Amino acid sequence: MDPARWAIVKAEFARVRALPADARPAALADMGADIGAEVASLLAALDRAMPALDGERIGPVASIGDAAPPRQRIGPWRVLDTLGRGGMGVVYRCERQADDVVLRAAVKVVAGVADSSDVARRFRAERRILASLDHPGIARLLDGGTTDDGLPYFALEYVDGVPVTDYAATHTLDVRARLALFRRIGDAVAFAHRRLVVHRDIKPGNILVAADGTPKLLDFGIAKVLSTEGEEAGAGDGDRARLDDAGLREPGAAARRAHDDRLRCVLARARALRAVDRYLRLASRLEPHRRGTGEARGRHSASVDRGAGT
Amino acid sequence: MADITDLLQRWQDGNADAFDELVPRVYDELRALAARLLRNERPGHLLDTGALVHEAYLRLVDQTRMSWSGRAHFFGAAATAMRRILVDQARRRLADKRGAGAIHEDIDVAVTLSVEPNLDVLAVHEALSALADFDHELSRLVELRYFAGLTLDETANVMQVSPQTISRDWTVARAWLSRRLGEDGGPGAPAGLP
Repeated sequence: MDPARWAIVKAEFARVRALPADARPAALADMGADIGAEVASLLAALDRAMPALDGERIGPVASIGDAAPPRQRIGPWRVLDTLGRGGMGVVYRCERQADDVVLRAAVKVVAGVADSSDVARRFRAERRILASLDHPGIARLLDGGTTDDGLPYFALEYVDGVPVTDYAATHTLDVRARLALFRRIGDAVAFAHRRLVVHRDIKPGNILVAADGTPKLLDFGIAKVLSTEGEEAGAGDGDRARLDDAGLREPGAAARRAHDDRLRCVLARARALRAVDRYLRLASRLEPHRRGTGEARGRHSASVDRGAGT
Repeated sequence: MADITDLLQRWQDGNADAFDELVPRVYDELRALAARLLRNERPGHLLDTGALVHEAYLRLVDQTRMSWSGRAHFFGAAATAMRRILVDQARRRLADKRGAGAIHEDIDVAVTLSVEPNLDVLAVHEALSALADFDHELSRLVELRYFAGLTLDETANVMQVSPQTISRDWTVARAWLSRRLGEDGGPGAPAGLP
């Protein structure tokens, strides 16, 4: 690309992005077809920009290579294979014999925490509460501790599933099915909130859907245990405090943290609704060919509004 | 041989040759450091490049002789070095996978690079080279963020622009990269709707 033209595109991109969404089409139309198309395609690309590039500190992770021997045991757990690895550590599929049943677990060994004894301490403080989260939509915390080489680990109920976003895409769920799924996830979150446990890290990768369609939330409360901030992290945040509504005005960091999660929840809903909205726009274009009426669209919108109202 | 602190100082004083001398030195040091750190760790331990670069700074540069802007210069060189390390590793892995029978000269290190989530180091490297042709500064920004793992504020320091400018440019860079990587059906590709 020509540097001079790119400079214009860059400036226009920043300008248009600062505009409210409904003012953007007019602004794009004003700037000449080729620049406008370029800016529009960048805006669209930003919407699907990789989350890997979103975070504050980003980048590749170096690890010991494939040549390294895998772990055999983690605490009482026997390692079967590796499920995945990420910035936080490695997750293993494990099992252990308990009386006459074989328990399966996803065991997460946490690497890269500054002070693992701190994590272990917080874990002991939290484990009773976390272990009490008995809900079909929440992967149970089974056990946790420190590996022989001093790294903290958590054993979670093993869920044979895929991230909710992948599930929705591969099963080509329609809007109704997506919202139904979403509602079940919301129920699980609400269950935990009633026990004053917040997730703190709800994201598609932490919501797995089993083959039978049951969603399960992973890592409930783990983010808090791993937090490097103090116990009251986020409590005094002015912006958030101002957003408090009557239902959450009681004092206490737990309520504020619950609120924190609630906001995330709303955000997730908004995102789902944006997808719904795109779907409806697409559907309304197809609708005349199929049924010749816009009635279906109205019905969808009504159910969407109800879904968003809580 | 001049030490790294001296090279940094010469580069800061406007000696461009010092940078060319600096990068391979930092390259070697970063690799050695990664090997040393990983050797003391159990299998599966992850070491992010940002932590590595910061660790390298503390170990390699004489803090008493280095100013704040020297620190920024170091991260600038380290980002370039880290990028080369990652790209070299990715290429070697690719060659191995193709059954070229190449033998790791550093099998004991075996620093593999797992990128989260599956962002392809080589794809990012090639995209950045293309970007540098028409916007060198933007390419540099991504290099600092992605390969040296610097935060936005640290990046602003290295590039000597305001955090606001960095934040704005970072958004453009993300959009451009996402579009570019999405073209190949990479991880930036949009999720399908029903």
